[in-house]
Order: sequence, then structure tokens, then C-alpha cells
Amino acid sequence: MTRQRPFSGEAAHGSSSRFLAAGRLYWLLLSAGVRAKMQYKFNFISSTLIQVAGGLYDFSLIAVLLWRFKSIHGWNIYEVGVLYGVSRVGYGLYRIFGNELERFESYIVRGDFDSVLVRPWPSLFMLLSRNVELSQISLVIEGAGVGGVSAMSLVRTGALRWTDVGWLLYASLASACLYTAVAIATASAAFHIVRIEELQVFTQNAPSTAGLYPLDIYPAWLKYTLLTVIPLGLGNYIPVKFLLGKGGTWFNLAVPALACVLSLRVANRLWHLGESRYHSTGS
Amino acid sequence: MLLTAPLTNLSLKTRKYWVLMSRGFLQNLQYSASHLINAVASAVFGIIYIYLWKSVMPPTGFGDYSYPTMVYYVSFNETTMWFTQFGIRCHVRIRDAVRSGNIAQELVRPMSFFLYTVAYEYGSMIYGLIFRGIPVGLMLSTIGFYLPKNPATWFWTLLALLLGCYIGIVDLYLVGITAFWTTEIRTVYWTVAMLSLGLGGASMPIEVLPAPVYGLARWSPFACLSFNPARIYLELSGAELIWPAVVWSVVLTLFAHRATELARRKLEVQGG
Repeated sequence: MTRQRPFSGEAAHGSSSRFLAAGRLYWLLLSAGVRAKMQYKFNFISSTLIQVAGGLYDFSLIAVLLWRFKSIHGWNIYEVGVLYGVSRVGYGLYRIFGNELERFESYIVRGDFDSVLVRPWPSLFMLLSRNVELSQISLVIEGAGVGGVSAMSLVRTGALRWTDVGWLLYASLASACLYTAVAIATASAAFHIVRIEELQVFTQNAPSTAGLYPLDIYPAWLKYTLLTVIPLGLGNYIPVKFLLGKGGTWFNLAVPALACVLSLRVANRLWHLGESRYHSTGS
Repeated sequence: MLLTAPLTNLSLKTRKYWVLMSRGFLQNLQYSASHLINAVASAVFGIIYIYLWKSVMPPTGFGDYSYPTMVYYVSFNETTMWFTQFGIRCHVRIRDAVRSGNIAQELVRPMSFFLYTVAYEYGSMIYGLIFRGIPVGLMLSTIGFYLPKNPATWFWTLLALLLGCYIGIVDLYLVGITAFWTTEIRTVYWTVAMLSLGLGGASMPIEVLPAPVYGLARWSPFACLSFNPARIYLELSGAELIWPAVVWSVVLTLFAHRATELARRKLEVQGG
């Protein structure tokens, strides 16, 4: 048996081929999932349309308030629309690719996590590749629609530059990463306390709603919770605030990337810690 | 003896619905710990809306609502939504029973399917108010929670809430009944849920809506879920707001009975 030296060319080749194999496997599993979903095309289209309409309800609430009162803490409807768009697209991307984390409680309760553990790949990777929830594309459509229309209006008035649209896409992707990190950390709690559905409302749903509005409107404890412990505000509010000229420096644009790296590392650590404590419920 | 017989008969008839209501309450009791965690999240939603209002409202207020009144409005609705809107599951149970074929057994019970469903759900909603709503109210009371000065207000509010809860349950009962025709109820459910939240005045008083929508919302059954009880409780309106709830309760009950009758004829049992 030969031992590979760390960082040797062979090891690098090994890790890159494993990475490629993981990519191929992920693609294979996801495309199988998509094909399965597309067996019921009508159901997919109707549920997507319903969810777009349902999601637009949230924005209509904001729109009615802004129609009546003109601004939220100095943010007009287009500026809030951009923030809303970034948050929604990020949340939608997370829900498409990370939906299994949303229902992770049932894996623990029913003992289904055993079947994830017996695969020769990291459990988190296997879990995320199990399903792609295409119907959640409604969130992306809705966010892109509201955010796109708002951004175009701001570009026309000169409040936003064309190049900033690229930064908004980057902020959306960073938001998706941060939502995933928070969801992984919350799911990890299931290894210890089993039931996490109510906890998810606390760590994911409520912060996701809070993130649709400028964080400056909230009391300090809530604002800083959304910028530290549940750092969803670092992906949307911090960069959007700078892009709209409402304060901050270029560092506001670097924050989302740094937050993603740090949050994913912490979440991954929590996952492994939880996984090491896992006890099957199976017979 | 002859005189008391009808009364005994009536008490026997109502007793079974009382038992069902207790079951609905007790079945939820086992999840009370996790529901208390959820209450913290619900309180956060309340805080979000309170501070949102604080940031948009002009110093002079809006209509009947000053900023403190809005805090009370949001606190009250976040508390009572767990009684009149959130947590109603009868539509899901009916849909699942239709899909599995168990609906046949549900319908052969020697009692009204409608009253059976409503009684069970009512118990569950009373649980919702005590274990989910009131903890939210207690948490939000740190920001502000109004206590009416007039004792009669408590009575009218309770009546408005009891009727609001009934309307909320019957709305979703009707959603569930559509499963007899369509099996899938998602579209109807989402439509009713959005109307309940939007026109019900849960997160904002319906006077904020554009005039034509306000006119529609004001007389819709959805206003009886949150908006009317809140106005009575905050002593912004009197007991006259009970009447729309009474009328809608009667109309929806008749409609639900008719729909149940039609569904019974339409029944198609799935499965073997």
C-alpha cells in the first residue's frame, strides 16, 4: 500500500478527480429528481404560479404601505424593491437546492438518515443531492421580477449604475449561501433535539421576513442578531445599502463573500459535530 | 319528566360535540413545548410589523390610528390570529380522507359531518389561543398591549373572536370540501389564505388599502377574522361590528351544509 503525500501532484489529481466525480454524481441525481418532478407537469406549473401569486402578496403588503406612506426609513418603493428582490432570489435559490434541509426533521424522526449515512459520500452532500425542489423557482421568478423592475427604475433615475446590477446578482448568490449556512446549522440541531420545525420558524422564516425591510428600522438587538448570529442581513442589506448610496464603503461589497465562507465553515462544523452524536431510531 | 326529556335529549346531542372539542384540545397538548418555541418566532413577526409601522407612520398618525394604537393593533392580532386563522387543519384532514378513501367512514358516522369537523377544530383553536396566542401576547406586551377600560368591551371582543374563529374554520372547511371534486385543494387554499390575511386586516388595518379594496374588505367575511375584533377590543368601534360576523356565520353555515350534501352525493371512494 502506498501512502500519498499531502499536496503532492498525485493527491491533487486524486482530490480533483473526486471533485469531478462528486459533480457528475450531483448532476446525475439532480437530473433524475427533475425528470421525476416533470412527470407531473401540470402540477408543477400550477403550483409554481400559485406560489408566485402567494409570494407577491408579501410585496403587495410593502407596496400598499409605501403607496400610502411614501417611504420606509427613507427607502422608497424601488429601493425596498431591490432589497426585496435580492432577498427573495437568494431565498429561492436556497429552497431549490437545499430543500431537504427544510424537511430534515423527518429524516431523524423516521430514521431515514441511516440511508444517507451508508452512502460512500459525505452525508451533507448526499442529503442535498437527493432532491431539487423546482417549484421553489417561483420565489426566484417573483424576486427577479420585483427586483428587476425596481433596479431598472433606479438605473433610469441614476440612483443605480448598470454595473451595480452585477453586484446585485452577486448579493443574491451570497444570500443563497447564507440561507444555506443558517439552514445547515438549524438542521444540525435535529441531531441533538430531534424536533426542529418550530426552531426553523425562529431561525429561518422570521429572519427571512425581517430581511425584506431595511434593518435600520429594527431595535438594535434584532438588527445585530441579523448581522451576527443569524447573518442573513450580511448578504442582502449590507451590500444593497452601499449600492444605493445609503452609507458604507466598498468593504460592504466584500462582506457577503467573507460572511459566506465563515458561515459555511461554522455550519459544516456544527453538522459534523451533530452527526457524530447521531443515534438511529431504526429497529 | 316529559318537560325535561327534550332538554336531556339536547344535552346528549351537544355533549358529543363537547367531547370532540375536548379531543381537539387535548391532542394538541402533547406538542405544547414546541409550540412555545414557535410563539417566540411569532412574537418576532409581531416585532417586525410593529417597527415597520413605527418607521412608516407620520407623527400625526393615520385615521383612527396613532403609533401606540398601531402597536396595540398588531399585538392584539398576533395574539388572536392563533385563534381565528393560524393552525386550522380541517381542510387538510378532509383532503387526506378523500384521497385515502377514509372519507366514507367519516361520512357514515351518526352525526353531522360538518358539526363533527367544526367541533373538533374549535377545540384545537382554543388550544391555539391558550398555548400559542397568549404567550405571543405576553411577549409583545413588553412593547405594548392594550387593556380595554369598559368591561362590556371584553364581552363583545370575546363574542367577535368566537364568531371569527367559527368563520375561519368554515372557510377552510369549504376549501376541504372542494377535494370531493378536485382531490387537490392547493389553489383554493392559497386563494382563501391570501384573502384572509390581506382583506382580514391581520398585519394592517384595512383602511390602509385603496378605497375600492377597502369597501370590498370591510363587508367580506375576512374582516371578521382580525379587523373587526381588533377594532372592538381597541374601543375604536362598538358592538355593531358583531353583526357582520353573525350574518356571515349564518350564510356560511347554510352554504357549508349545502356543500356537504352535494359532496355526499358526489362521493367517490379512492383505494381498495
